[in-house]
Amino acid sequence: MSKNKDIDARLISGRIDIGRVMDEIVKNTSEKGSGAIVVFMGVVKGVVDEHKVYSLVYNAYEPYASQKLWEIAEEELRDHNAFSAKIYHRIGELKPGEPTIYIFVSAKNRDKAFSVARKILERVKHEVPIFKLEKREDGNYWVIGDGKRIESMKSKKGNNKHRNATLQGI
Amino acid sequence: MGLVRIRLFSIFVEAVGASEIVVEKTGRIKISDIIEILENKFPMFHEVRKRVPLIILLNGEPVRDHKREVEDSSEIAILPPMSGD
Repeated sequence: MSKNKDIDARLISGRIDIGRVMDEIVKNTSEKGSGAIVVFMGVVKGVVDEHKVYSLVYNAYEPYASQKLWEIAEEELRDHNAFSAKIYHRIGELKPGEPTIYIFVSAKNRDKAFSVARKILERVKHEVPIFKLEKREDGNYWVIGDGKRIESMKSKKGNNKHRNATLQGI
Repeated sequence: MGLVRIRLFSIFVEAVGASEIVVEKTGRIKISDIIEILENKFPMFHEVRKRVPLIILLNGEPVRDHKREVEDSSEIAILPPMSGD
């Protein structure tokens, strides 16, 4: 991935310093004519379907998840003449209130900055191989696509350990 | 004889009981053959498939044509619809 300072996109395990990233974007884009920076931050919900959420566990299919994040940032920046696009997606187990994703977009004006940030978010949701398991007081649920939830079989059966297997002679 | 790696994610890991399966391929094999094998070998996979759409990536690229042949050393990923953010 290139060293273009106007694009960044990756999976992260901890939080980021929003102010530092903002300062960097302002420094790099104000002279290009940037008039707006939009920051989107997703957070883990504390309640879903009236049930308390304990945590949300994210995992990703690497290296394809990181590659796709980068591709989305690069394409949206290029296609909409934005000045900067950065995406940081958390992985691991996150508690309610913790940030899940950060999207930064710098553009000529607010309309463009909002619309590019929105496009990036929708593409991340549908195109990046990232998966989440919601641990709640009423059981564990896999979140499939846009909000559909299917109860984990482990919720019902206790801990079956995953294993790797070999199927011979197919 | 070549090897094909099958990676499973999300609810499909539970359906199969493994996050990765290595298939020893003795002849020509299509993606649809691999899905059929998983359905026959793991009844839970068959059940989950009825409720969850299947997305297949072949070496990281989405594949819609399940008649596509799988080369030696390929990696097939079996995913539900993605749920980033």
